Amino acid sequence: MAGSAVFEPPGYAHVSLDTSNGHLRMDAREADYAHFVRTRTTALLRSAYLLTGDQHLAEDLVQEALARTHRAWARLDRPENAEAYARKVMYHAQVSVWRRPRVAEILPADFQPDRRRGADDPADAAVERLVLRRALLTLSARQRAVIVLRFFEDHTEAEAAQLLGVSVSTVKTQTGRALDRLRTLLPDLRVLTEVPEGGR
Amino acid sequence: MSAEHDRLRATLRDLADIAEPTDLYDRAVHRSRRIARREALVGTGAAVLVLAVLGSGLWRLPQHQPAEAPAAARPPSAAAASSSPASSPAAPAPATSPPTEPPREQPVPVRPPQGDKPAPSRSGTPEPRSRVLSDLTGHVFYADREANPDVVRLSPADGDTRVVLPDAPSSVGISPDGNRIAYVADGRLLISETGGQTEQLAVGVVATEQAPVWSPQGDRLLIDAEVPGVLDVETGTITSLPAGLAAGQHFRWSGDGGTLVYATSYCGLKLATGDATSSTSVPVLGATQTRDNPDGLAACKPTSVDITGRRVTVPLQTTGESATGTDTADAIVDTSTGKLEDLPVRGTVVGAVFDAEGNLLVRTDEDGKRVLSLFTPGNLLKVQATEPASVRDLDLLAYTR
Repeated sequence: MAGSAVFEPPGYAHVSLDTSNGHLRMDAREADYAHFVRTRTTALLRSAYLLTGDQHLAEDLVQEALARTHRAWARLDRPENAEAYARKVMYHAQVSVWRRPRVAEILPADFQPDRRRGADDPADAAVERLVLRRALLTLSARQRAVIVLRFFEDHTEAEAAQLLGVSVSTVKTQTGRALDRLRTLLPDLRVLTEVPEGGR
Repeated sequence: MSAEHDRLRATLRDLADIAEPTDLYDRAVHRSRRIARREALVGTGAAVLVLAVLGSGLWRLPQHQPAEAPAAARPPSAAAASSSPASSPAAPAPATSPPTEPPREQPVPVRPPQGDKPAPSRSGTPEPRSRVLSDLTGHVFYADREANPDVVRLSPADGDTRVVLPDAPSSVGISPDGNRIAYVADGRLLISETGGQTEQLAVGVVATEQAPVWSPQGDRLLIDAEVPGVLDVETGTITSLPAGLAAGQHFRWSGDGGTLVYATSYCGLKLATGDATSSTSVPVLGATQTRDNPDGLAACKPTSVDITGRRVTVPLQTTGESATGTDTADAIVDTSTGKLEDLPVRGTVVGAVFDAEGNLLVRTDEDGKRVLSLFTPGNLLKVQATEPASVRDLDLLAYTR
């Protein structure tokens, strides 16, 4: 367009200089993306933390998901599609790493569940939280993903299967194996002592 | 909903609270632009090569098709520069012996072999000679993503898919004929016939930084024991690689057996030719200076090499990224320039691997549709067909005759 120039200062949103009114204005699409990132990053980071067990790795994972979403932004019809797209990228990125997924390291010697009772005690709850983190990190990437999808994000088995790009039976199998593994590692964690109910 | 499940949910929510809120906008946009530059690099290279090939007169274009059409489309072109096609791989020389093949030649512009003139499509995308999966000869190997993955063999000729090594205890090497799998279990180097029989060849072997790799003729295995060495499968004799290569990781043989490509600890690539007493670095990859490596590209794990060592498949990574990670290549590097090679395919590359004859199998994903494309050593698109759904959730591992 005559009379306008477009530039992209590194690290900032796409900005257009519209000389017709003398004001800088952010490209509307880029502004929508910036709003999406700044309102949904925390939620994505929470899931990513459960997947990786590490703040920095979680940030790397969410960064990749947000970057891919940025690349696809023009193709996403509605803002609500963006989060679903970002989450799908995130889960695929985390489970596609073959053999040695990027998660926080956990050593066998670190794994010493606290035997104290009284889970309602805040201190015990903190211990339980850390023990669960360690236990999650011993799972395979896909097993961890199904646990997070089913029990943190409250997706149905069908939704989890769709997000991961696998069959519902794979989700059932992976969930069962994951819970079996967690039961072995966390015999005192009451939450895992019973067989989960079937898919919703 | 049971109280137990509510408790699990509450514990997960509590755990997720550890994540600290961070503004990732700048990082995400920066990363997005790096991805865009990478895609632009591929697209520009494709356009230049298309025009070069069109100009050579090797491609007969319908008169109504504008020559510039491919430049606007996503990588529709002939393949990038190729190695000289070889009718058959030379006898692989031991890494410690002078090779019978001459040193690598300088890259030459792509010229489809005479008689291999593919018909150009209206879109500029190479037309495959066949779109039938059963025309894809040989075997395609996959692995699932578990800690001990099942290794799966797809035989496109008859559509048979079967697990040939369940619960692989280590990274694996598939023989060039597709009939044997080498792997390591508790330090023992084992070879499993895909029919079932298993044989132990050596002990004290590790596979963390070096999968057992078959020589192009399938008579030797490059392994990592105390130091990397070459094991003669028939005699069991192990010949250590020269001391200068001892720090290398993830060695891979070229199809002619005359070149070894390997990764350095800083995620660069090196080539050893001749008697393997010296090696040359592949430019760009792994370089820490921005002027040498503006996009911060790195390759921590070569996965396969073409006939002469001029092209290598790698999972493309960035400097500073963990040296571990996927074993599935998504990029092809020109070892003389360090630049990424164009792949004239549509969609996202989710796997790429050379076989011992220099054929290149590329696996792509476009809107959830998985496609296998087979290019000959002369870059002729031989087969392009939809991949069976049975291997959708698996990672591409190898392609063999």
